[in-house]
Amino acid sequence: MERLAAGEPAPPASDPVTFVIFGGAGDLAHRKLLPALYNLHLDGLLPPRVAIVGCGRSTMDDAGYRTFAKDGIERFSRRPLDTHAWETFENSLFFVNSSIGEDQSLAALGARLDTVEHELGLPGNRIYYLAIPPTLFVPTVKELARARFVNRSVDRPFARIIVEKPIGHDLESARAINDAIAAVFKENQIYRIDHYLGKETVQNILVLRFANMIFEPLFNHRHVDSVQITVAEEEGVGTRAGYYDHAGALRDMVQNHLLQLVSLIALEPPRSLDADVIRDKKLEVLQSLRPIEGDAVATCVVRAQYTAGFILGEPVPGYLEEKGVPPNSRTETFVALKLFIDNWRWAGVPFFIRTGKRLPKRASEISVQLKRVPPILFNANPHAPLDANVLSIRIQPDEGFALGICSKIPGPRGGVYPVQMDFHYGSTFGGSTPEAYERLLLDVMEGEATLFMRRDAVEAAWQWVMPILDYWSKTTAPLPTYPAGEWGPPEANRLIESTGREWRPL
Amino acid sequence: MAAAVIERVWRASSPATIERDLSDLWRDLAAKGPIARAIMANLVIVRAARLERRAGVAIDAVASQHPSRVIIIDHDSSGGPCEVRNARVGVVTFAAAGTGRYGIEQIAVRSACADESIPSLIRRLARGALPISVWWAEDLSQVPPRASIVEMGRQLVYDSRQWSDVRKGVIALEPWSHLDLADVNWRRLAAIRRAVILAAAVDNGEWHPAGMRIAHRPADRALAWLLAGWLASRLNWSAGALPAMEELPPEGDTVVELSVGRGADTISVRSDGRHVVVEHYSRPRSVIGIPQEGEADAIAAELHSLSHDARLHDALSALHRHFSAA
Repeated sequence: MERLAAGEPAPPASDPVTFVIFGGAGDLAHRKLLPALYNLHLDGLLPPRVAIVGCGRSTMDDAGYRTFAKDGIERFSRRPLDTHAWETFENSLFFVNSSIGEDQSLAALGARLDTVEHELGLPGNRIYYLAIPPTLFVPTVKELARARFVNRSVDRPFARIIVEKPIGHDLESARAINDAIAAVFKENQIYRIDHYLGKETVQNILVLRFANMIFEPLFNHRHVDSVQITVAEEEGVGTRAGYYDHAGALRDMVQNHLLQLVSLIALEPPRSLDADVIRDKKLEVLQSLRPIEGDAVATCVVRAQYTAGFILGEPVPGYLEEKGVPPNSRTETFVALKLFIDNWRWAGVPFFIRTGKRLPKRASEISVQLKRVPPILFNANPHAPLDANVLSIRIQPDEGFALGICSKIPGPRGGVYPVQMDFHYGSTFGGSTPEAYERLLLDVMEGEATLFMRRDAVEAAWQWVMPILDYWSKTTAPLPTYPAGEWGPPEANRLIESTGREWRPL
Repeated sequence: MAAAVIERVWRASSPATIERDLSDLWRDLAAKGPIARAIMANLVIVRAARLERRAGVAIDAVASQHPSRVIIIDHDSSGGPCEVRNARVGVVTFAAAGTGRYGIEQIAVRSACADESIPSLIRRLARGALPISVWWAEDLSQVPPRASIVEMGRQLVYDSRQWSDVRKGVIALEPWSHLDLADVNWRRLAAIRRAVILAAAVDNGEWHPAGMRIAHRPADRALAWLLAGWLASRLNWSAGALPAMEELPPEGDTVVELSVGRGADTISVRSDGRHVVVEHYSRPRSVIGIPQEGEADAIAAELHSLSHDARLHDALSALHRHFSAA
């Protein structure tokens, strides 16, 4: 019978698995995790036998949880609910009421898991997803250990844990969380999720660089003038004021998403696609970041907070007027900074990164601006310098990339105009692009860790941002502001304009 | 020459769903057959709601030659409640020989919010990687452009032929001397400037404004002033000095005429809108043809040119000095 499988592609995620979601009745599960698992089911990518067990303070039963999941899928799935597919999917959904921190909090969960796994013939492979506030990470992991849910010494049945960001509030707390998790799980059992890394375009960065001959020879200080990375959010702080006001944009976005993007766009060619080979290369970039310390923070980093303004033509409140935000808050909702990677490849090339809330639109992009052509021939007119070539990678929305080049305008008089060679995932490949969580959840089931953050990278990123946080904690300088709906404060423009460049419009 | 319109498709939308609705529209059009999504720039048109029809005439024709994401904001500043209403998305499909079917996308939003809210609409709707050109379709000597909008563009396109008051128009433009200004009327002056350079070769002497006269049709007053400003800037005349200006009867066929000198020695440069003729008794007359292009052709050609036209800026500066001195 083995001959039947010979030559066939390996089936995805074939090991039966029990998926345990702590915070199973929460917003993340409702909007992202359950729709993602449903879409994997639609695509035939879930294991043939699977149980999805939500766990949380809610008192709902299995039927209630299935209704909750159905609602999430109907509202947030990229594809509509298919009645037949739903009937098979819902049979794998269960819910257990449990509160971490209470005595024997996981006893009910353990008993239920045993029952479900016995009934469905599951071997006990488990994936624990911590979709809960960071303050509960350590108690939950300790409870998992106390309840003997995890066996470090055997590979089968496996136990894996998925941890959502933020991992820590600073380097010290990140280490504490990592230590606590490491006391229970081995590093290869831990999947620190950064959903940005699951986006198609982010995954395409490596393909773009190392599956094409055209770009990689140019990716160095000899040809690249500068790199810009923007992650812009149109939304305000919304209902997350409680968390966000203690975090701010540097912790919430730069320490994780943006530094991950920096490391992907700047890494050296890996020798293979093995998870640890790629993660080693990413770590090298983080370790090569020139520290921004002391007074350099004032010249290389801009932080700001949004005030009342307009989004899409309509008035919106400022950060301090948002519900749950202290009236004297100095939390930054915007960060722009200039960084350098002190290695041979990127020596002297500035990387400008910015992120913020209540910016004009939701848009994330990496743009690699090449050096300008010499001021001769078509670029001889100092009043009309030619645009530099720019490779822009759109992460969201409208995922794809574009190459800006100069072209002759048709006609006898000529003239040169900047045009775009533009690739759109949506229109090129058709269909709807899988959500990041689909890819990431599938990777965990398959034990593929490339798109997850390793402990050393998380701590290297914290190590780099700590001097900035320390400086801010000591300064009493007024916090710059920007009206909602604008691309940050004037200080951010000055940061880049002082180098003779400007922010690329998005 | 504008391509032929095959089809115009418009759909109601809302500000928050414009991108998605546009994608759906393109997908539906693609289902009917191959279509290229043509786009090389953002073309922003802000109009007072009361004037929208006038500016609407040439938009398709312009965009067919300069494929753009056209963002039309009809702004009602009458003081009603602040709301963005009547968002629509559309695709206009064109056919042109040898290039098959292509379409350009248009977004129309009617806003009744404060002036300062308009940039937030443009920032959201513009395609970031592409240049933004602001087309000011109104008489900017009467309705000056809003700074917050103009500053978002890389280029400000207008037609000074619409100006009812040249002085006010020149002064209104002064704050944007750092932008790429593109005046369709300046384009009309190109052949005349060539002819004047030709005429200058006839006479090696210095040209002084006191010995010169510019006559023009009433409708081409701004063209005549641009000619005067150009001469002043090229010949380094002092601030207040410009040739005498004279208005011709509207029924004649002379658009603009420059006369240099007196009596039989006069050099004449005269445009009838089709040719520019240079005449002097000592030489055979020279004739320069004027390209015949419609308003849309001219605007599209100006949109193609993103360069900073130093000659136009110098001419405007000279006129600004003249009007300031006066």
